[in-house]
Amino acid sequence: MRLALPLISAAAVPARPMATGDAALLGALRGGDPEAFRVLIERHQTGVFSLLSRMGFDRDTAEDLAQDAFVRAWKALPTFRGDAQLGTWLYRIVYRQALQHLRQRGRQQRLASEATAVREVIDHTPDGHVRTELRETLDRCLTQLPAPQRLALGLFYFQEQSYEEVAGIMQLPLNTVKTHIRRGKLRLKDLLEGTP
Amino acid sequence: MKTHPSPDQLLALHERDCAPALATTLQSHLDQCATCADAYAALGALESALAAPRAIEVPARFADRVMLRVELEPAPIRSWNLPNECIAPLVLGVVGIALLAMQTQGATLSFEGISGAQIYSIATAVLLGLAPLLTGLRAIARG
Repeated sequence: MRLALPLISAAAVPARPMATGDAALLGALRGGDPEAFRVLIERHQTGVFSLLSRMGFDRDTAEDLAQDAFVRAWKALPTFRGDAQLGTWLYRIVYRQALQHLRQRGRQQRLASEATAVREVIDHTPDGHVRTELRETLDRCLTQLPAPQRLALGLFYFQEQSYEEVAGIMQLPLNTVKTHIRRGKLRLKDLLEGTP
Repeated sequence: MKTHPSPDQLLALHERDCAPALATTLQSHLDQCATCADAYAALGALESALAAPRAIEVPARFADRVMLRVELEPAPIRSWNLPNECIAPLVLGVVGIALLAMQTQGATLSFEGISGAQIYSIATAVLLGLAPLLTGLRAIARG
């Protein structure tokens, strides 16, 4: 069962035609207009931070990764041919940036396993948000997953992406993505229950 | 079902990604086994936590900081991205000049009795024919 997610602009869906706003923006970007790039940032920054948050990155790391991703996007603009939506292209860069970051950091430092019952994690505020401290527990457990599982889960729950969309962003076969997501969920459940 | 279902099977049931017969068997097991019912409920809870909305606050002046870094970057190198109609004449021009240079140096080009001039004519026809075909394929790929 998938729950409704917050409405965030610029949904990234490879199969859908490019949004009208994005098409006009792309034209200005191809003209080398820096202000158009500012518009791109402002249009997608919430989505990028939301994605990085779902991947379990803390605020400071998310800012570093988001900055790096946008700068990399700026450099890569001349090679963007418009085959995918701007958002999808951007999220692909964010994903690669996150993956590179995790690889550089090497094996995750294992945190003390928190024997928090899963049920406790599901303690929502009246507006449907998971309570902050419990969300932090979930995020800490996310950081203990292998990079592909962690990133695939983040992408999957970001704007209710489908397996196909996640595979498109990760550029991996569909079944590999499904396996990463399934294994990630089961491992996460064990971590949350305090199972080593 | 005599044994407990595996976590994979419970997850498949939760995601409605198993055969109807297996789903019925698993469901009837869950109705009788408190341990598995608990594990199944935990999976639902986890799904709910992962999918729950998150209040995202973009750091203040984030766009300004990115723009500052962008300004410090050298201008991106624009790719040529030439239309196919330009690529064909360019290739032909280069090949033609090469053939001319060979001829002026007394060298001749032939292959299986076909002269250099004939090869050039065939290449011209093929390349000029390929240009609109490639343009069409590009348009189809872009949707």
